[in-house]
Amino acid sequence: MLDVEALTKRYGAFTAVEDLSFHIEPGEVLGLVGPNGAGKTTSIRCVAGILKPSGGRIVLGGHDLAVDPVAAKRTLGLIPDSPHPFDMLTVTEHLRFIAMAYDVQDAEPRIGPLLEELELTEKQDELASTLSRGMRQKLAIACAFIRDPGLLLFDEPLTGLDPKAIRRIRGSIRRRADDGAAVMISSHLLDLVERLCDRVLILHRGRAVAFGTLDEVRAGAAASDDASLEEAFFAITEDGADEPPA
Amino acid sequence: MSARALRYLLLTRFKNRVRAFVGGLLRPKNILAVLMGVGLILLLLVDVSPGGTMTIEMRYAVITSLFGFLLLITIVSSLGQEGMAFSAADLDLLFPGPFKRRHLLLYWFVPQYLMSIIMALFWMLMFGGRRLPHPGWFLFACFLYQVVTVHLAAFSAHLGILLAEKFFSRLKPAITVVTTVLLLGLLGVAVLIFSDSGGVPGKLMPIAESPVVQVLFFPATAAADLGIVDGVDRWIALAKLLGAAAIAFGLVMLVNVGFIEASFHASRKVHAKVKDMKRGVLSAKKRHKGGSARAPRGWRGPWAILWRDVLTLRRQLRTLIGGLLMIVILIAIAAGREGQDDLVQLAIIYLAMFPLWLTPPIGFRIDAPYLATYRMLPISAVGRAAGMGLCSVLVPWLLQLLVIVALVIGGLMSPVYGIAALIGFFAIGATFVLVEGLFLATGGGIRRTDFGGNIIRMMVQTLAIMPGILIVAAGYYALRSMAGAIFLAAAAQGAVVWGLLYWVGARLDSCDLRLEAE
Repeated sequence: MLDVEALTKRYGAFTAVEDLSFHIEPGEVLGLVGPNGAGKTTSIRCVAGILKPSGGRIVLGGHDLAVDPVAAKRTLGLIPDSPHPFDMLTVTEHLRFIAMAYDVQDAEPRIGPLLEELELTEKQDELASTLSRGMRQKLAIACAFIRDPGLLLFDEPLTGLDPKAIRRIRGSIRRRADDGAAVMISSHLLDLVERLCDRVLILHRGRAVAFGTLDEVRAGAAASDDASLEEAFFAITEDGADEPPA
Repeated sequence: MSARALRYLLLTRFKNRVRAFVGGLLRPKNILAVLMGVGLILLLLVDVSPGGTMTIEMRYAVITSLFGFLLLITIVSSLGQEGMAFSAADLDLLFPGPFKRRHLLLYWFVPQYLMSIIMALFWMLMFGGRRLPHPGWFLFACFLYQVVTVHLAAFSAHLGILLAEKFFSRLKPAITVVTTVLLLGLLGVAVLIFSDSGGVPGKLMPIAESPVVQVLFFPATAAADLGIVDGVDRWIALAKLLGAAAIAFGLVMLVNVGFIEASFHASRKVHAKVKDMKRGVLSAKKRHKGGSARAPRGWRGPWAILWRDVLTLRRQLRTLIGGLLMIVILIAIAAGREGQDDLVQLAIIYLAMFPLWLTPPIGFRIDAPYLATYRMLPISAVGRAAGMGLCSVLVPWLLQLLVIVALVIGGLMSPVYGIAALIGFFAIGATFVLVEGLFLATGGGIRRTDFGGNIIRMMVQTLAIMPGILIVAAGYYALRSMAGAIFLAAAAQGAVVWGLLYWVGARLDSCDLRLEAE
């Protein structure tokens, strides 16, 4: 579903992401973790077609992002870390707009259940400008879910949500993956990544320092079999920062 | 599909905006804001345009010069922007979406066209278009001129993206300087024109009619032509404007550069600036190199708050200084005109305090989020109010001091009169600042976007200086000395300030902190 080959992103002399390669299969959840400034958000923005890579290739659902950006973007749904909906559109109007832009067939009957799933029903006719941060986060997720994209990109998806909503969204993400969507989640919540993700990609100073299943990451970090992702993460990012990926 | 979705987005947003506006009219303070707005427009209709005695040729020169200036500023500043600014929602929902480049560009243009209609009306009023031989054509010309500038701004931003990839970082400081100089120049020329000083319109005539200006700034000259000429010349002018709009539009559509990424970065810069402006703070330099300041000896209690304000100002001085100097120079020019009436002179200097209050770097408005912190400090209520307000009183007052010193040195004002004026201005400034503090403490609308609330606040501020004004009038009648009357009035106004200080202090200690701290 997503193939990233030798992705590099430079800002002048500064290299934010260097020679990053990974792939995500349909039905798989990939956790993207790393310290602040590791290049997670830059990588996600490159995959979403917002930033132009300085080098490398990104293929989304078989479409090369550099060659056919419109077709490639049609396959992905991005949920940014701090969503900004259109102030003067209601919750339902956002979903209608997205359905129109992505040519979603029979979107109207799906709006109600989706709002129900994300606990937005009461807010359906409210302008986005009146929503709390958590509600805006849910709206961004609804905008991505309404069209069942092949690839879901989450940048810190649970920020601002209450415990009940966190549990609900976590279940929703897992369900989408079980239905065949490829999911990439960037998060500092290592516990969430450990529970939800099939594979983990650890970035450090713009480079991949570990990529694989939790067992493979543990092995790469020379951690014990029952070590948590947190322990493996610190072992990798504090000691083996410049080592090649496991 | 993407075009249909963008059309839906624009129309729905417009519809909801109108609905929200109409709904908002049910609130009395919003009605007040609308009435004030309409009143202002009517006032503009009556007369703000350059004097009625101006000949058609002079008016042509003024229109050509200011339009030409604006065209140049638009091109240069857009070049430095390195991309077109979109909203945060656009970045989140449109940039990662399946939208074609040309559709995103058209989506960006549509609201600008609507704004062009409003701007056309504004130019019509400002330039006294109804005094031209063909006002209807001039209004249409103003709209077309605005469309040309919108297209040129987009093209220039695209050019900026192209240059940024090569060698632009070295040119950027120069572009900032050129833009600032052009803006200050435009402001200076506009002040001279609209205050009828120095016969500027007459001096602009040969410049506006020179072949260089006619060729280089042809959209500006064509716009002015449309209000004056008829017959074949009218169609030539119209063709020039339409041609300029079409060529700039074509260039934007054809020049395919890294538009998405550049606009993403440019937009984020603009959002950061807007966020600062909404809070009323100036953008501080990202990397502070000055180290940490030592607290002055003996500055305790309320002085700690004042010290924080002084540091804040000092660290934004580079951003502030150009604007401050410009205010001083413009006010000094306007106040120092020969044969100026004393009272008019005072009124002009009095106005010096307003530009700073429109974008204050310090003060109650800026301190709203810190109120909880200040309340925890072991400072008396009065001390807290004084500490929070003093710096905002002092800054505009120092500007007035500079202007008055310049006028006294130039022999245009007597020293005694100057000292009286300074005392009076301090009392007025303190009153205004403290009323703002009172509004903060009562949640009565201190946010920049709350126009109705701000108008009510301004009315209360005006009412609060009434004792001083009445005593000036009575004192002048009794003493036959303006300086003496001002001394008397300042004393009375000082009593008002003293009362306000206690009132604001008490309110700040008891108000609901959630009101403004969000």
